[in-house]
Amino acid sequence: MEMKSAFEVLNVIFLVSFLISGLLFTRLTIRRLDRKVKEEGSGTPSWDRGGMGLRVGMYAGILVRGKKGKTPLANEDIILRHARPIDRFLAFFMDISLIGMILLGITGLCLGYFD
Amino acid sequence: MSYKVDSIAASGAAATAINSKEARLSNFGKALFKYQKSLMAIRAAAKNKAPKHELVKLGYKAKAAHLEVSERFTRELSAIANRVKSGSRGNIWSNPQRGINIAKSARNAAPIQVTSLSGIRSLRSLEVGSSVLWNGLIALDAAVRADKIYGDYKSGADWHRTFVVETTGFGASTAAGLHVGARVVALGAGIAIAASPVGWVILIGVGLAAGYGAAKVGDYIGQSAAGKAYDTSSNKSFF
Repeated sequence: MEMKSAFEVLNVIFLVSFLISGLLFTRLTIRRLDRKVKEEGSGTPSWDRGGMGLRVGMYAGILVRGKKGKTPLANEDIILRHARPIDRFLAFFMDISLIGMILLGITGLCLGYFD
Repeated sequence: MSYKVDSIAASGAAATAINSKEARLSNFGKALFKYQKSLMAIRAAAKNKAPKHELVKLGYKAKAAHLEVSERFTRELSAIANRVKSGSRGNIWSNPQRGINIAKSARNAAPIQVTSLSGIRSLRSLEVGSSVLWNGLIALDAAVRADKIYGDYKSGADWHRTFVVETTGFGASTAAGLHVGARVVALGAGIAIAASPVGWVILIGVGLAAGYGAAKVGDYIGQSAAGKAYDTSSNKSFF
């Protein structure tokens, strides 16, 4: 019983932090980066024109890694050039809470904490 | 409609894989086409006995195009380079000067038609044939959840709670699924290109599986947390 309530509290914390950081990241970082990328003459990645926001996870990965990958799928150098510390922080925060959420979720599934 | 089907929203991961592959491949195709066009221009100029400085100028263009291909698409190039035989002088992939010389002196244009290579053709055909999934799956997820809420409303159950729980589950599962799927695709892109064209198929599968798992977990977490919050707040008397 003790474990279960601790699990539920952690659950709420991780979920809320993921959703809040995701919202902030999308509103503060992605919007600004989109504008910057547009200013430099290239648009949103062509695989994300449907408006689903697939680039959010991709950009977060680029910002957390902090350097160019070998097989870029987006305009990595423009993104890295314009990234502010707050962008990296938000990306990192979002990633940590997502990882925490998934680990917690898997643990919860294994221990049977979900109704 | 069984509502557990809804976690299919994770298929966003597959859409990422498909579309990012498409973008990268078509950029590769464009770069290759530019290289081929510059070689063709050299060939036409040489056939028409153009002055030497003209040929040199075109040669610089071809070298720049080759540089672009080899810098941006190292992985793709190395995947196709070993399918093309090459002598000690190299081939048009490894050495732009070789490409220029072939363009000037070959009997016909076949050796410099880089885009007709069978390996690239198969890559391109995969690119054309795979725009399948899109936002529809997320819309389906939303529709299935809405149906569940409406069903609870009709049967007189606590549909407020269902509404809160399902909305949170929808948000959390879609966000987590897209995020993880996109990340897996970005990580695997290098491997997939090296193993072209089957690599992309495998990567789409892996991205789909990872995104599906993450969306499932996100759904559970979201529903559990929202249910907990709802129950806590409705058991408390605020006034």
